[in-house]
Amino acid sequence: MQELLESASLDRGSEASRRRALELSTTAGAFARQAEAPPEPRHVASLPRAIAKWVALGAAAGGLLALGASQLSKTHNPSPADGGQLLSAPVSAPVAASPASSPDIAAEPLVPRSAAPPSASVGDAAPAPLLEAARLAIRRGDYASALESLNAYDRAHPHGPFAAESLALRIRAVKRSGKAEEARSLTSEFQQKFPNHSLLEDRDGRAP
Amino acid sequence: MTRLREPAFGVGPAPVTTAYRVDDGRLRAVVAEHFQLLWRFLRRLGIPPGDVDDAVQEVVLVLARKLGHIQPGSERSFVLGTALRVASGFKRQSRRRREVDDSELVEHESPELGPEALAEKQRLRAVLQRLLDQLPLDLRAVFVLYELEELTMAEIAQTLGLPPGTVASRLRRSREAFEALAAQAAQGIAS
Repeated sequence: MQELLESASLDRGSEASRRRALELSTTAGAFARQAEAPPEPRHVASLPRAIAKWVALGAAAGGLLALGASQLSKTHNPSPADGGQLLSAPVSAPVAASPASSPDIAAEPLVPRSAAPPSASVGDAAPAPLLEAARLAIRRGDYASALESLNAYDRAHPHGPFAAESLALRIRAVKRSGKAEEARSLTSEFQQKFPNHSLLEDRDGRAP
Repeated sequence: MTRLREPAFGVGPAPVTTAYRVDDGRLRAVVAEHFQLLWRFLRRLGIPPGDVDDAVQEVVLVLARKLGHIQPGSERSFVLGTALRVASGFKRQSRRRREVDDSELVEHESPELGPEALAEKQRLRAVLQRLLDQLPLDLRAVFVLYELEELTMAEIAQTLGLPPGTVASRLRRSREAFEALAAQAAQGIAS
């Protein structure tokens, strides 16, 4: 029995995992401090400041994008219950590129693990804790919590750099909670707001 | 299950005054200090290797939101207690998921062991996890913290918020159950 217990000494989190946790602690801490601060009156002038803050946080946590990209190549174990689609897995049934055709909601937009906007440079990317919380909630099947996190993110950053990722996660949560019509509507909204976005694929599975 | 309820930014009443200051330095220091312990605990509670990262991140997110309410010096207890809740929620969700042995996803580094010794130790580690997975989560948590993390029963009681008598009872029961399971496993191999 002692040998059995001693085998547990093999357990060790990887350095990459440790770095991810530390990076998340930096960005999550900033959000926590924002939540603790007294509410500010909303006005347009606060928006550029909020965006600038996110850019600064993104620059500080830029290395996480590289870690997130490496995670995209990892193999995950799909579950029949959630349709076998994890956020880092490629979509098997792509959305039609033609605006005249009805959107194929069987195709869920890709959401990279790092939730980085495609137009941003590596230094600007950073995983928003609220989006990360939503992603984790979807993964464990808690779609209500995922939508709460996404609502909070959208309220805080209505035109933020991760708007596409937020909407993509919303589509996924709504679809997996069984609301097909709403998911179809959101997919159309995504195509209109973010045409030719890298999170969408054409029917042939190729990025536009 | 841990529900991550995020506050409504910019609207609603003023937040409750926290007892302790929340800052990036403290959060980062807590994560740095307790990362390996957290990772090991989640793994031994039965989170598959491929999912431990996500479980760690869930704990970090909860920690970030609650740090202002955690008394300095009590961070480890909070981390382990949150990990147990996250693992409990994960286990409920994972019942619907396909069981796959993804132990190969984890790379073990043991430079002091030769290849054969390492392979044997990895085999024993897989056996250990199968035995642990058969223990109820409440017994498993106490067993892991005592036998593997070598916490005292007083520390376990504080960490899990349990009366000392309950910790002692669960430790006794978990040891009995584990030894019985190990004996069965050994008989199964021998026959």
